[in-house]
Amino acid sequence: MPSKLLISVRSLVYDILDSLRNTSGALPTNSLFLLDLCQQAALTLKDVQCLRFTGNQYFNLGYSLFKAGRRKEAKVLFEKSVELDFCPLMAAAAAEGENGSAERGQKILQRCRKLEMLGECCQRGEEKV
Amino acid sequence: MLYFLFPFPLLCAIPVVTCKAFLSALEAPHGSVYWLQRLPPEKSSVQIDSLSKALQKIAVNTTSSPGIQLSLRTLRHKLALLQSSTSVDTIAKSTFHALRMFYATTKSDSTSYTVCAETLAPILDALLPSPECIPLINFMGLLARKAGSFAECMKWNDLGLRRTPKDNRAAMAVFTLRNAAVLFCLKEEELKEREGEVETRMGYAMNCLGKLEGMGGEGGVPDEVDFLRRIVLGASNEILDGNKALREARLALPKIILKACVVLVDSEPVSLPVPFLTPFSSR
Repeated sequence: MPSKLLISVRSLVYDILDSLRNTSGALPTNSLFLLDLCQQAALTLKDVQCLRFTGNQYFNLGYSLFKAGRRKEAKVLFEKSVELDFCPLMAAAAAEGENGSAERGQKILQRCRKLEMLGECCQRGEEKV
Repeated sequence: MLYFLFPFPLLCAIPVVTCKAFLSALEAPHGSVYWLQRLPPEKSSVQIDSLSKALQKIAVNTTSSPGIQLSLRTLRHKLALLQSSTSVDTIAKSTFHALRMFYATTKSDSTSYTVCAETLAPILDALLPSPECIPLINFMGLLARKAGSFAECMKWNDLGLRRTPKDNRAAMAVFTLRNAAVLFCLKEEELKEREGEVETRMGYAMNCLGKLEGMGGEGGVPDEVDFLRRIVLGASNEILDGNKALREARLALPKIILKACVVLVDSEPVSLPVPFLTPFSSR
């Protein structure tokens, strides 16, 4: 894998995520498209850090939509964030780099909270596709 | 008479200053080269051949500076271009090689660019019809950029765009992307002069970034994409505030470059290890 391209992709993903974070109040229409692009780039280059940041941004955007009462849109973003949390690349990286039970516990707690919010977005009896 | 003018064996032992004086005397308004050009073709070819051989001998035997070596080789090329039988492709390749060698032995990029541009100026028109001229133009564009002469760099890139055959997509992409990046580096007054072009050039660059399939390892395209990425992400607010088209490009380019990077990574050639078994031993 070319390291120059990896650096390029990382810095571009950070820049895009940063611009999304700064405009999260207005929620640009193409933010989902941009996040998908970041995810695709991170998966193509198998960059765990990019993937983690993209997952976080999915959650942050989902949370701001959740707060605004736009639960259907929030659900899509939460689902994407949870998908990234449990994708094989992240799981492998987590298995390699976990240092202590405290860190692991914190991660599990975050995921539980995420799943809880996702559950709140779903209607009764609705299943994840 | 011409033999009398070229005391070649003596030159092998003389210092650089004398060598320079000798070369400028040869190329002076009424110097030997001037008279060689005026000889009838059947006579001039013999004289040019012997002079070229002698110049080559000097280049091989003297331990002169890289500048002198470059001048000697350029003079030989100039003489060769006077003859109809000369292959322009060979001359273009050799000039490219000479300029690269000179650049490699020079510390300052700006000095290197100045000397290379001066060297190339008298023979450039003769070399332009050759397809081998494209790497030369590309090199000069790069050198101008390294030397900080961004306006010059754009001129070289534009020349490259005009001379590159349309089927050479990689070279076209390199010149287009480099021009887009250079726009972010121009001084305020230079940018004002080119205000009308910025939007069009950015449009070309964005188009080009969208069509990089299969160019993963070709002709420096990934390097130019990376350079554009660095310039775009590092663009200062002063430049962006002064130009609307650049401001819009700063917002739009990161995602387009990211897409292009993904495409380039996808189109990297897969390098598989050489299989250990031969067809015979695998049976």
